[in-house]
Amino acid sequence: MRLNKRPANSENAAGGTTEVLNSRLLPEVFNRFEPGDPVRVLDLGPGSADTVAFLSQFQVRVSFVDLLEHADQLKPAETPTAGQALNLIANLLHLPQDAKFDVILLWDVVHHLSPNMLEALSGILESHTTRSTTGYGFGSLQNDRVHEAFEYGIRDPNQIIQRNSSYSPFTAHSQQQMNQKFVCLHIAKATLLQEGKLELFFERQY
Amino acid sequence: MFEKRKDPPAPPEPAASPPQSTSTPDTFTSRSTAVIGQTIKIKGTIEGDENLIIEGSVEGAVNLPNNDLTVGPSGKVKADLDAKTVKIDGEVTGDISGTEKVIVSKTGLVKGNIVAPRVTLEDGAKFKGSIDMDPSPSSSSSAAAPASGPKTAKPSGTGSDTGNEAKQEAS
Repeated sequence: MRLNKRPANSENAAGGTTEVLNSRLLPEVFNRFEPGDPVRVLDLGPGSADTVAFLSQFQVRVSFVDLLEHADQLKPAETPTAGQALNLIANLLHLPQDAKFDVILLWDVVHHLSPNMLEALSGILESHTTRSTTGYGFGSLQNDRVHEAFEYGIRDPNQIIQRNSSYSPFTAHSQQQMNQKFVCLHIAKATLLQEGKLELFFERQY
Repeated sequence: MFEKRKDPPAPPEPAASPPQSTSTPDTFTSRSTAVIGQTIKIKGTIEGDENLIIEGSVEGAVNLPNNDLTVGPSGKVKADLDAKTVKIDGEVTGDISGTEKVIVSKTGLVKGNIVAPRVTLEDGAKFKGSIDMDPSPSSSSSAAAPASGPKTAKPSGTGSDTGNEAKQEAS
C-alpha cells in the first residue's frame, strides 16, 4: 500500500485534511461482490460520504457505529469484569440481535480498546458474523509506536480516503494480542505500509 | 402554525402558445410548500399532501409519502420521517424512509436509520446509524436485519452460509 497524497493535504468540506491511500488488501474484501449484490457492512467508524457513495453500487445495508465517539468508555480506568465489558460494548454497538454482516470494517478502532474490551468486542461481533464474513483494518509493526488516529472512507476497492480526526493517538495491539483477544476473525493477510503501519485482511476463524 | 410559501405565479402565456409539454414538472416547484418556521415547536404526527420544510422543532412523526420533505439548517427533529424525497440540512434523531432518495447535506446531522433506494451523504455530513439501500420489501422493516450473502460471493470460509442460501432462493 502506497501513501498517495492526491492532492497533498487537501481540505475537505468537514475542514480536515485528506489523503488517498492505495490499498492492496481492500480488494480482497470487495472484489467477491458484483454490483447489485446484496452486501451487509458494519463500519466501526463514523458515517463516511465516500463509503456510502462506494457502497451504493450494491444492494447494501451499512451500519456506522462510530465506536470512538465513546472513546472514554473503551479504556475504562477500572478494569470491568468480562460481563460488564460485554454489556458495555453491546450497548455501544446497539446492533439488532439477529443482524449478520458480510464485511466488518474495523479500521484502527480496535486499538483504542483495552484488551478486555477488545475481547468483549470480539465476543459480540462473533454472533454477527457468518462463515464468509471478512474484515479489514489496520495494525502496527511496532507495538510501542504511537499512531495518529484517522477517519477512513472507501473511494473504490483500491483507494481509501484518510481524514484527520479529533480522536487521541494510539498504540496498536500486537498481532499476538489480536490473535488472543480478537478471535471472531483472524488475520489472514497483512501488508506493511509506510511508517510501520499494517494493512490487515481478516477472515472468519474455524 | 404553518406558513404557506406559494411558488411565484407562472408568467402569462402568449395567446397563441402551443400546448404545454406533458413532462412532469419538479414537485418542489409545482406544488405549494408548507414551512414550519424557526420559532415553531410541534409535538405529534404531521401528515399531508404537499411539500414541507421544517426550520423549527418537531417531535413525533412526519408522513408525506408522496411529497418532498426538507429539514432546514435550523430544523431540529426527533421523529421518524417518511417522504418521497428527504433532504436533511439540520438535525434529525429518528428513522428516515425515502421512497425515492434521502440526502444528508454537509450541514446535516442524523442519528437513526435510513431506508431509501438512493442515499447521498455529502462530505461533512454527520451520520450515525444504518443505511439500507436494498430495495427488497423485507428490508424496510429493519435497516440492520439479518444479512444475506452476495449471490456471486466466493466463499472465503469453509462452507456456505445458510442465511445466504435462503435469501438467494427468496430473490
